[in-house]
Amino acid sequence: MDNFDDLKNLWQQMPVQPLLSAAEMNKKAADYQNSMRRKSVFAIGCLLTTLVFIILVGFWIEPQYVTTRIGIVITIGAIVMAVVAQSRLIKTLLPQQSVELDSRHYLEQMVAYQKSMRNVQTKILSLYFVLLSLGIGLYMFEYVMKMPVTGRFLAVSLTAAWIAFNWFYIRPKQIAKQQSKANQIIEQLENVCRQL
Amino acid sequence: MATFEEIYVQYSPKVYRLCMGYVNNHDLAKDLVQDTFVNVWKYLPGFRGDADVGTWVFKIATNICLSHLKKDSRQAQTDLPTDLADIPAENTDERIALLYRSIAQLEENERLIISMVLEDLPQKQIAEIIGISEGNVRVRIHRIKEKLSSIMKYYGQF
Repeated sequence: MDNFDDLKNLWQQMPVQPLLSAAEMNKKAADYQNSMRRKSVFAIGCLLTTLVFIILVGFWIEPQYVTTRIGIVITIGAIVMAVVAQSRLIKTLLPQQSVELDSRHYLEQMVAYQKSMRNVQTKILSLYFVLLSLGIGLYMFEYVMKMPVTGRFLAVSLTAAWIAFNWFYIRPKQIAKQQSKANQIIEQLENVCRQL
Repeated sequence: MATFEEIYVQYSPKVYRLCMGYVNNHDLAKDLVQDTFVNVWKYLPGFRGDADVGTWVFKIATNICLSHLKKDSRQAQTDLPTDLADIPAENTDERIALLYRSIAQLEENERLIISMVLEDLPQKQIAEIIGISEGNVRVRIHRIKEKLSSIMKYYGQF
């Protein structure tokens, strides 16, 4: 291109939109860092509060069967696990990519990260449904045993149907949704990787 | 070693042009500049003084740009009108707009490489930022220039 220097001149003439001043940028970066720290502290705080709540409930409701207490703990544990999985905390458990790397290595790390994230999410979702079903089943056991035979049959059938619906319909649907989103990101990243 | 403010003052306009070359959208480019310098601020204390600060900043900026991949990203580049073909640009603003529109037609890595070439970065530095050999960079720049030239010719420019 003979007139590439013209393009360089044109490029340099591009008016830069008003950016933050250096002092404003400095403050913004510090605020961002602090807000990340606050979010982590908040998430950990929520987890600890939930744990205390589980222990208190275990003492307070005074069930006769130990299975009821175990059921409550497992159910709340499943919910807590799902919340953690949705939060930033899960990301800290996976290998992180460094923005200071060159682009090729950065993209390779991003692909690896997205793939582990996809696997972890799928496993967590299945585990969530297993724990939730188990927790509810154990919790119900004491109260079902006190019911008449007809009520017992009805409660067990309805719960079993609900668990089956979750496991065979909701769970595969959720997994497919998560996988498709992750696959799309991975495909884009791999596409750019191939360009390099 | 340079302070954060010095680095920001020197490199933010360059990073802004690089981001514009990548996304061709002023608001998005400003967001990417901010993300870049949030990371510069975060990692500056651990930055080795013997490494080139420009290369380091551009590495962060290109990676932030690459993180911004999303579906139909090209359709998101809305700052330029779509009915400009075959109308020779008269003034500088229009020519700049056409340059960016032409760059937007390139692949992701091509957009980043050509933006760094236009920013006058040496090929050795570009090779280090992208993570490929200098020879490879030379070949790519040649191809990208040809591609850009034909796109701009299509728009009736150059």
